[in-house]
Amino acid sequence: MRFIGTMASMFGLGAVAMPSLVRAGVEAVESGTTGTVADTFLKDAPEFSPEESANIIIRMQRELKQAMRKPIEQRRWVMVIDLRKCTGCGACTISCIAENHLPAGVVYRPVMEEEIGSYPNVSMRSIPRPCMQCETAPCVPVCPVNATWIRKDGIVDMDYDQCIGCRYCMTACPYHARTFDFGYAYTDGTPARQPYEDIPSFEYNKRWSQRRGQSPAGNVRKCHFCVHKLDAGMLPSCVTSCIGYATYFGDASDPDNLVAELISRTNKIRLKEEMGTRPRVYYLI
Amino acid sequence: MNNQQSKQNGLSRRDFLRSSALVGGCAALSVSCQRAQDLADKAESGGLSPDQFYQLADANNIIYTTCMNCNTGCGIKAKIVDGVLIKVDGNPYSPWTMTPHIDYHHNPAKAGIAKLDGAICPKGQAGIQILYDPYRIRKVLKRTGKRGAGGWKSIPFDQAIQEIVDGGRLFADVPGEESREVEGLESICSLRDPQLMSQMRADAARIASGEMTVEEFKNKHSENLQHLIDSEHPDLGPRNNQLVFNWGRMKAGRSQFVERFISNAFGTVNRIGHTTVCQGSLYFACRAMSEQYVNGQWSGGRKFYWQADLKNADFVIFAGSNAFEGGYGPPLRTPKITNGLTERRFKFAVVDPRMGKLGGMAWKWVPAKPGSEAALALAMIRWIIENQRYDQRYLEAANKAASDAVGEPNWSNAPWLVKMADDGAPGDFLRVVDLPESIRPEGDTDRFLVSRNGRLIAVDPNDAKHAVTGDLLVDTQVEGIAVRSSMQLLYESACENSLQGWADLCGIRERDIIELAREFTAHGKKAGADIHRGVSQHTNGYLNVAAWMSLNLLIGNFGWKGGMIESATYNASGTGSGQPYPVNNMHPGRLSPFGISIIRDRFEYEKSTLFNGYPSKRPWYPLADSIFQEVIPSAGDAYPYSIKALMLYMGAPNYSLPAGNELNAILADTQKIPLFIANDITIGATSAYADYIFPDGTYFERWEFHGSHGSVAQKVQPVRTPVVSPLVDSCTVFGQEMSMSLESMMMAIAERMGLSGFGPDGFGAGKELTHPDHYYLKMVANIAADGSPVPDANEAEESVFLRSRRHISEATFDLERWKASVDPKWWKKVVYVLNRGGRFQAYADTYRGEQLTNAYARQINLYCEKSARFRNSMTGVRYDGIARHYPVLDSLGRRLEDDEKEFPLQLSTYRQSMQTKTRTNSAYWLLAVVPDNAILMDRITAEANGYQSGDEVVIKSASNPDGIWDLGELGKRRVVGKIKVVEGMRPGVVTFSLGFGQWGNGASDMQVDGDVIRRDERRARGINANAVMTVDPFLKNTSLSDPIGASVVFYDTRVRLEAV
Amino acid sequence: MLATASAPRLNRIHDYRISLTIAICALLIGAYGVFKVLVLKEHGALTSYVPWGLWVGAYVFLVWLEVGMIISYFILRRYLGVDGLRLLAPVAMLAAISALLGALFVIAMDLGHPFRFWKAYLQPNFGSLMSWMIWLHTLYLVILIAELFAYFKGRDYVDRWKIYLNFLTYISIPFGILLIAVIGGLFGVVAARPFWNASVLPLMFFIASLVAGVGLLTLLHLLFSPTKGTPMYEETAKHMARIFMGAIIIGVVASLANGLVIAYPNVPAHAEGLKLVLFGPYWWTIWIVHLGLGVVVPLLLLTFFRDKLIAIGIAAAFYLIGFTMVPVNIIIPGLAYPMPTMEGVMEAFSHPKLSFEYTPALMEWLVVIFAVGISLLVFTVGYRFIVEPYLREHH
Ligand SMILES: Nc1nc2c(c(=O)[nH]1)N[C@H]1C(S)=C(S)[C@@H](COP(=O)(O)OP(=O)(O)OC[C@H]3O[C@@H](n4cnc5c(=O)[nH]c(N)nc54)[C@H](O)[C@@H]3O)O[C@H]1N2
Ligand SMILES: Nc1nc2c(c(=O)[nH]1)N[C@H]1C(S)=C(S)[C@@H](COP(=O)(O)OP(=O)(O)OC[C@H]3O[C@@H](n4cnc5c(=O)[nH]c(N)nc54)[C@H](O)[C@@H]3O)O[C@H]1N2
Ligand code: SF4
Ligand code: SF4
Ligand code: SF4
Ligand code: SF4
Ligand code: SF4
Ligand SMILES: [Mo]
Repeated sequence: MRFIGTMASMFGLGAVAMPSLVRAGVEAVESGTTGTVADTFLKDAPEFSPEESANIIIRMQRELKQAMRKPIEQRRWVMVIDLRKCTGCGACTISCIAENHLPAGVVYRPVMEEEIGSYPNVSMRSIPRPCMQCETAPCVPVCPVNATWIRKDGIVDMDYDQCIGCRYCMTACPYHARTFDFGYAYTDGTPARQPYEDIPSFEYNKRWSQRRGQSPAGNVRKCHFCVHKLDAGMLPSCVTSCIGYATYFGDASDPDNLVAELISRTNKIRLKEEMGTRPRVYYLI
Repeated sequence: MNNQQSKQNGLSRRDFLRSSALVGGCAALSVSCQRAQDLADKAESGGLSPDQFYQLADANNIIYTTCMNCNTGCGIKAKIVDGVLIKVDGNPYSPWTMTPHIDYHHNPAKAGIAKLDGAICPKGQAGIQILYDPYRIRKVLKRTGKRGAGGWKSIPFDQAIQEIVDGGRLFADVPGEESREVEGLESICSLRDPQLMSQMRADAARIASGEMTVEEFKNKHSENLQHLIDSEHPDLGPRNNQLVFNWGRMKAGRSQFVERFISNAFGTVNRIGHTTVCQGSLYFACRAMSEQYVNGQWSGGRKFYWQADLKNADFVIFAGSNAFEGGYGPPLRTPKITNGLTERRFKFAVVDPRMGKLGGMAWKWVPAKPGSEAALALAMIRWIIENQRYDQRYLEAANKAASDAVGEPNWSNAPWLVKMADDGAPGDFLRVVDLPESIRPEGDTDRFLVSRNGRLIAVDPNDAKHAVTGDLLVDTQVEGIAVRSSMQLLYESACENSLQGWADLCGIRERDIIELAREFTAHGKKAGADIHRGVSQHTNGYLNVAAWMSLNLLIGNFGWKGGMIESATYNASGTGSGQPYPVNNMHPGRLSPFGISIIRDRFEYEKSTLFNGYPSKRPWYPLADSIFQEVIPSAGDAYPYSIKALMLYMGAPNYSLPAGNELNAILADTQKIPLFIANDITIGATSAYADYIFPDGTYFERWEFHGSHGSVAQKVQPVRTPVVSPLVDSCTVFGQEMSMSLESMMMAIAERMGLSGFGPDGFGAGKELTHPDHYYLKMVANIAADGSPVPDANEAEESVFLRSRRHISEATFDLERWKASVDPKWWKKVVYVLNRGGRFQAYADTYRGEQLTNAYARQINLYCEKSARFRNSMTGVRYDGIARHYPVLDSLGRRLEDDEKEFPLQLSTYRQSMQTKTRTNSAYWLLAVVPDNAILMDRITAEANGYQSGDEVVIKSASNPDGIWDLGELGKRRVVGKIKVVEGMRPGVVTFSLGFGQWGNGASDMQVDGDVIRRDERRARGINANAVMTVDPFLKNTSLSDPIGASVVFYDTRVRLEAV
Repeated sequence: MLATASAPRLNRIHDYRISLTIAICALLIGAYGVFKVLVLKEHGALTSYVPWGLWVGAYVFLVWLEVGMIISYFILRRYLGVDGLRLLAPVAMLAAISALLGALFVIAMDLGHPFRFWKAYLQPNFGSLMSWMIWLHTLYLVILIAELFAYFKGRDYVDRWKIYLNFLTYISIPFGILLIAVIGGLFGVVAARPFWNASVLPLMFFIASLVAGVGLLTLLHLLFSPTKGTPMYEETAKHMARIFMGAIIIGVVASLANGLVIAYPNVPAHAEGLKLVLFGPYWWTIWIVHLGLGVVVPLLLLTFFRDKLIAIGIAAAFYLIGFTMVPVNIIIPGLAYPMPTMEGVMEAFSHPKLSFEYTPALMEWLVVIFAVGISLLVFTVGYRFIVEPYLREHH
């Protein structure tokens, strides 16, 4: 959406975003974490045999730790979803809800399904849709208050405390990847609201309440590649919970990373490539 | 939890629990929010690094346990923050959730392990919502109105125990029951003398074998006849049998505990599971195929079945086996398939009228007609035999030595000769004793015979020294007796139709059959047929299974890498050598119950004193057990006897059984079931009809040992252990505080009745069994000790063990009590096992060369002599010993003549990955993905009938012409659902998924302690069409069943849809 | 050229008590909606897939109307020589100010966190057209207030207030155009929404705003012109009726052109929104309310009863009522269907708030009523205590 910038300069005022205080704070945290994390998990890294390491989860976890040792601007996170392996089980959808304490009506990773062909020649395809973490994310420039931005490692970040809830970003995302937190709980209206809906979530390395009226309620929410888990040296939840082993994650800037191999193949596509959004989520077909 | 606290938590009075009988609220919460705030403050001030801040990465907040949201039993990591379970992930030590899984010896205290998560399915993820279900009960409920009318009051635990034990006018306040005397358990448990019971048991067996008459029995036991149900029929056993314990889902540990209480302390034979509702005929056909001939008898058949080694197979046919969405189970099978696909190793075909997600990714989807499973397998068998694509070397081996000689892990009786009996059907095997003495070979006359190049050779199957091989296709006469080899019998059965004839029967192309058979035989041992409910849950289920397993046998893939697996488990019951605690043998005064069970399983009609020609009043099942569909209808018909009390645990037969609606009238009838006690976590679909409901802990709050499944190649034993403080109330039994559960209910009954095997001397003098922990920790020690014992837990591990349980109340986790439950030398090993959620063999040890380490290494029966000796009690016809195709038949062996014009469609059913039966309707996360099920219909039928997706229709059948669920007091509901038009269905077949259309578990309004507990509309959506499934026209209150394997039939109903 | 005409007699046709009562009623009724938003944190019938609805529509409507009115006033006076409007200036400015305040209120209520509205001023992202919108809206409001102030202060040509007023009038025009263009651009730049993503959208917005402005001006003239009772009053009204008719026709042609641009390439995703507008569940809003009542009826009235003041008034009122349907018929249809290749999201996860169906909830209407109440209150009070005394004093 450089178009907006162009338009803004057309109006003669330039399109320089006013860097907000919040933004600066987040950057400080981002760079701060790099050191601590790498140290702790190196200490505690178990030795895996070659056989165990054949497990792609173990491999990707190792690669993730390596990436976390690099400065943030040198990481290029990429998610790869192999549609030949996705069975549409929905484990990732639910895992993401549990991990991020998503309230009713909010979803980060729905799985879309389609039947292809006609009887008796039929097949089925399931397409999980996290946030594409677009390199040229249309949702970012539209935000009137800089509550969402692209991190140096490519993740399209958000600050719930900054977001005013105008929902402009939702209209701008071509993937319906942003949903609004209306503050609903799954067990409201039942005999008793349940405790799992009250424990704060860990998103963005903060503790977020689940009460209506408090952020993130009233905010727009979306998948964030589980930044809080990355910082703890862990893979995103939808990756580890994928029972089809169809979801890969890693640092594409490192040629040794599994994802770097995968996205170099001819069977990779990105959704709505024509929009020019340049997603960091690739699909293998 | 008082008002004050709830205000502090910011909960409004409105959403605070109305009735204290339901679980709700969150006592720990105000604390937890504060702690969370502190943490956040600390993090912001830079005092915490992100991975300290992220509490789910901390080993001290993780307990490894085992899921049971479906029966797959995946290893899980329960992640707990401030006492609240908030995330469930896969256990990387478990082969279920990581492929390959990590080595058992990694230390779970290490952050690197704490941060490594395996994959589990969406239901497993949503288990949190089974635990924290606002409709869970926390106190004992007693009904206040008619059964099933929805009125309840909570009563103290001790009072409930006293009432059910002592009996009396328990429902004097219920209109119509003012003067009804309920017989209590104390009185039902009539015969308590172990010696006397053993004697009577032995004599009852003599009556069955004809060694003793009823008169003789009566004379011998004249003083004790009052203990019998019916002195004219001593073989029915003592009155104790009139307590029936029935369950839907129970695994090892609990199962032994229940055996201890129900059978060994209370002394009833009626301890009945639910196998036949799942895949009974699959189990019982494989049991028949695994019977071993030892000491002149067929015995040792294992209740199990083989599944394909998907990790290494090159080709698999999934027949009626829903590997991606149902089955046992998605997390362990999916990655093997999907990795295999992209590695270009694996190819698979799906035989299923519904394409589904599995068929949608298959090399070939074969939508054969429901019920034609054996036909398809036999067609392939015919082609394979005629094209000689079977493994001749393997099949010719007729005993152990021969199989060893050709490097096979097991052998079959394919070459053995069978005598053709007078009725024209194959009978017993030809034995040496059948030969005239002149030509008898030396030695044992009980040996079998094979023919090799026209010569007869005697076979001792278990002989490891003398290899015997035999010709495969033999059809000859031996001394005037017509004999055929087992393989020949199979071939003849396969020749009942031409390939084209079979193809027509299956409604597919001949080409499909040949392609399947060619591919199946093109990969050596690395191919398999993986079958499940779609094959077994038909009236011809047992023989369908036999046909498909015979197909596997033709390529001899059992025990091979990439072939078929038999599961292996570490023994929890302690009966193995070197194991410290054979728990159920440690039972002073233990009873050995006897008598014919209410479901007449494992007993021959002809040998009972009830024998009165054919048909019997209800079927008998000499080869099967755990016949779920027979329990309540048999009580309804009082055949073979009436019952006095029913205890139901974790099952919902009226919802889950085909024609389950027929049960409601019986359940509501206080004459037929005078006392009905349920153990449940909510007011469930069936427990809604109970007199009393005792609360239980969910699988996150209790013990169990889940065992394994055929698709797991490793030797394993997953452990289920409490991970949070149970949400139910506590009770005091034997002076110990414990949370209410199945165990505490049983122990309290035992305490009040003074039954053996429980209490301060429960395990023997001075060895207490006063808390369930005493029992289960011993079993954990057994697991730790099996084979070569596990190492001791080190200090770091012990610390993690303790700290991760710091939030669990003493009634459940008390270190001193836990430690005291086992000998100190086992304690650290117990910790070692619990810290990993069970015991799992190393991945590296799974295979030995091209074979499985835990390979099936015994005989496999192609021809099942034992089966062929029994008769169908309804028709008097002998069971088949070899695979054969039959059409759909009723209990009297008659073809069902449903009018295809009136009922043009065939009804089927399946599961989808988001739901599991009657208990996931509380999992709101899952309901957000699939809020509702639908009636799947193919486009062609839809177009022909003008249906569109979203149209609401009612389903009607000949058995249920109005399409009505009759729920008794709860009212009548129509079997209505929405159509979804798809391409991936066989035209003419409609199907619906399991888990919707509920009335239990918060799907109906209930009254508890005067408060109306409103139903949650989300929990009541969708359709369950079990009510229209065909009722057996003779039995009238039960669905169709397989006469041999006893499977209940889900897929053989013709229906008509009508727009609403 | 401004002050040459002889001062007409002020005609008190406006009884402020009626409008005060209406305003207070609106505030009282609407308060419940505002309570729901601010206290219960409800967001009406909006969903995650249709995140903007009535409130944004009301906002756009109000801004269009007021900016259009100010600009058309300028054009009519400067270039079309409708001198009879001279004394309407303070009324028009006051109307614009009050409506802009209401608009600001309604858009604040639309936020998930209304009390963070300040962030839009203090931590803006000028890469976002929404920031521009808020800033321009506010600046524009300030300019209008300043203009009104200068108007009251200014005496003659050499008075510095008069010079300020002139200056402010001149800059208010480009600011107004910019504001409308930015609002148009706000939708137009959203490439994800094919129905909005038309390059003509800002222009469309501008035209629409002008037509509506002429309509409102006509109505204001009829109701509040101090010239009432003079021949000039009627003459001006008739003059305006003709201009208004032309404006309506230009507006219709422009909409047609826009529709054609969307429909012509026959890209399903683009046409989907148009289909929703024309044949969707709310087809009647465009066909009956907007085109029928709002266009055809006024055109007929203006053709056949062009000399009857009452007919002109009714035509203008009808046009404005029908015109309320225009913004919502641009905003909602742009959102109310899944984006291309994303159709599966509808089935993938369900919640009442994950729906592409949207019908404004009662509470949303209440909030709009409250906003109208605010506008009316400001207008009434302003008129009663500032404008009217001023006019009385000076003319
Ligand atoms: N998601 C989920 N998973 C579960 C469970 C659950 O409740 N939910 N429960 C567990 C339990 S208890 C069990 S027993 C297993 C059952 O596991 P499966 O037997 O694998 O599962 P189902 O889906 O019941 O049925 C198997 C398949 O048979 C097909 N089928 C139906 N009729 C016919 C027929 O006539 N012929 C053929 N060839 N196929 C037919 C169905 O379309 C379905 O695909 O699943 C376990 N796993
Ligand atoms: N249409 C259709 N029907 C089917 C099938 C199908 O594929 N289609 N599948 C069949 C199969 S394979 C099976 S296994 C059956 C299953 O059917 P059932 O064996 O009847 O099993 P559930 O419905 O799981 O039983 C649920 C009851 O157990 C309670 N419960 C849950 N957890 C606990 C616990 O921890 N403790 C106690 N005490 N109670 C608990 C629940 O509240 C509920 O009342 O359904 C069968 N029915
Ligand atoms: S997918 Fe949508 S929300 Fe995510 S970065 Fe791209 S535009 Fe933004
Ligand atoms: S909703 Fe929040 S993040 Fe999205 S554009 Fe508005 S302020 Fe920015
Ligand atoms: S990366 Fe994290 S936030 Fe994004 S979909 Fe996966 S689990 Fe959800
Ligand atoms: S968990 Fe994996 S296989 Fe399942 S739907 Fe998600 S991406 Fe597909
Ligand atoms: S398959 Fe899913 S529900 Fe079943 S045991 Fe495994 S994780 Fe639990
Ligand atoms: Mo089952």
